[in-house]
Amino acid sequence: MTKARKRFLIVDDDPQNNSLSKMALKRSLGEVLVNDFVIPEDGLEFIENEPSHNPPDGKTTLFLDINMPTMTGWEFLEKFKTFKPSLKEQYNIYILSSSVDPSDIKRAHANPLVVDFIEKPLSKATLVKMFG
Amino acid sequence: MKDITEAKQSEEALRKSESNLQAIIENTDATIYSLDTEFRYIAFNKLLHKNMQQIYGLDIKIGDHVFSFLEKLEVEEANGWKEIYSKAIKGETVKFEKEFTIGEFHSYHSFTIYPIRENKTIIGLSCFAYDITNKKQEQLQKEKMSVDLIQRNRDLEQFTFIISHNLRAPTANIIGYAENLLDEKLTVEEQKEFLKGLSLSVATLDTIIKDINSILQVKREVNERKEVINFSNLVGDIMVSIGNIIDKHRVRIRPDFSEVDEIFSLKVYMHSIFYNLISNSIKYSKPNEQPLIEIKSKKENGKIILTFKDNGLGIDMKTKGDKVFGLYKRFHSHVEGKGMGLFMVKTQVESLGGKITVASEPGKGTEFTIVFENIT
Repeated sequence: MTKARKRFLIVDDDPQNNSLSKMALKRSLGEVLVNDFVIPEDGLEFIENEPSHNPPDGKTTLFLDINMPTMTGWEFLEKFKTFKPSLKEQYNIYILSSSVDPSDIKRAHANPLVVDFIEKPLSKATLVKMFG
Repeated sequence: MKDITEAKQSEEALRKSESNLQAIIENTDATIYSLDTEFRYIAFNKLLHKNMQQIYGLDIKIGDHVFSFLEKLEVEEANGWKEIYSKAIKGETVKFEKEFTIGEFHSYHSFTIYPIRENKTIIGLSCFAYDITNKKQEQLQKEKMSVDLIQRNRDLEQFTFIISHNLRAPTANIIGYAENLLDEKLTVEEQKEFLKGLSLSVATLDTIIKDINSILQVKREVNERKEVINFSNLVGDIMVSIGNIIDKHRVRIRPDFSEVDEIFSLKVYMHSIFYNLISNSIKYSKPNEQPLIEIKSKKENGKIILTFKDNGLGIDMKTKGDKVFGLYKRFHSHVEGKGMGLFMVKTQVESLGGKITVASEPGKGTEFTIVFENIT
């Protein structure tokens, strides 16, 4: 029996951030499954077309950036909202942004699809708080 | 004998009363005159006489027709005056403000024209004009100040945005790399990778700081010396400087400056505006279609209008319209770029007192229109 591994998706146009986030995940939680997408559309397509990737321990955590060239994080969420419920319930979405703009934080908290707003960089401390 | 004395006495009284009235209308800073029903001067003060001489070169006399100055005016303006006097003679009090221009000098007057009634008949018009130039100029200055303040405020908002988003992004990465580097269990490879990331993030931060500096420069440089710039030469220079890109993408540039080929402006800015709009069109051209950029100049009511039209990818104005000129905004992920070009174009156009607008449709192309007003 394979060990239950946590699954993560990262959607952010900044590849440096993504490699840092992957490193933080690995160092805090050990071996985890991570897919990262620098183009948000690719992330959406992945979510929509691979519905059978049921994570062993229930849910996949999605870290979503706000400011991206082709599609903002908010637009990503609008599209995600239209997916079927069985797909949506597999994800816990966190906004992971470098923004320190209070209006972004407020907007993240106001969105029912978003669990929380995390300020970049993704740190070991945050992850320990999230997953114990 | 008795009759003549009485007549003489009343004549004397009338003269006295007229002198008193004249003294009253002279002892004011208003322009005062009255007209009979045929619009001929019954009386006027020296100020009117002086103004008519200064503005229209007319030496008016009692009994002259008020419309004598109308032939000095444009038809439209003359008709305006005729309308005003006709309204008043029908019994309406007419109030209005008017701007006069003598050479470089502008003045504003506030007019009130009252019908003069004797019993129930209108027998003429009494007219008053006050010089409100100072008041008006103060008002215009206040309006200009408001516009400036609104613009400053927008700039500030823009800078708050840059700080909270653009400066924060590389800073967050620097924090991330630094935290990782503190770990003592790192392998040599990991350490190397993090150091590389750290130096890259620092370089990005530096670039953004330099960008902000050049944006701030734009706001300072407007007072530099302007010169006559030839559009054809400008496009020619740019085509040479980006010749390799033009060849690589087989770009056709079709300039038409037949209507106006020159502008009096800041060369650095005009170059940057043309350069950024042209390279923007090339960047966002369709991969399977030969890029065509049409640049045209027009002159309309003393304004110079420039249009840049391409057959590129286009932008969805419904969703992205408000962001086209935003700093660090890009709409296509396959293209390299910082998203600084159009922001700079807008900043520079506005610094030169112009306006830029965009019309676009996805799949059809994009057209930028720049209007420069009052350029001689």
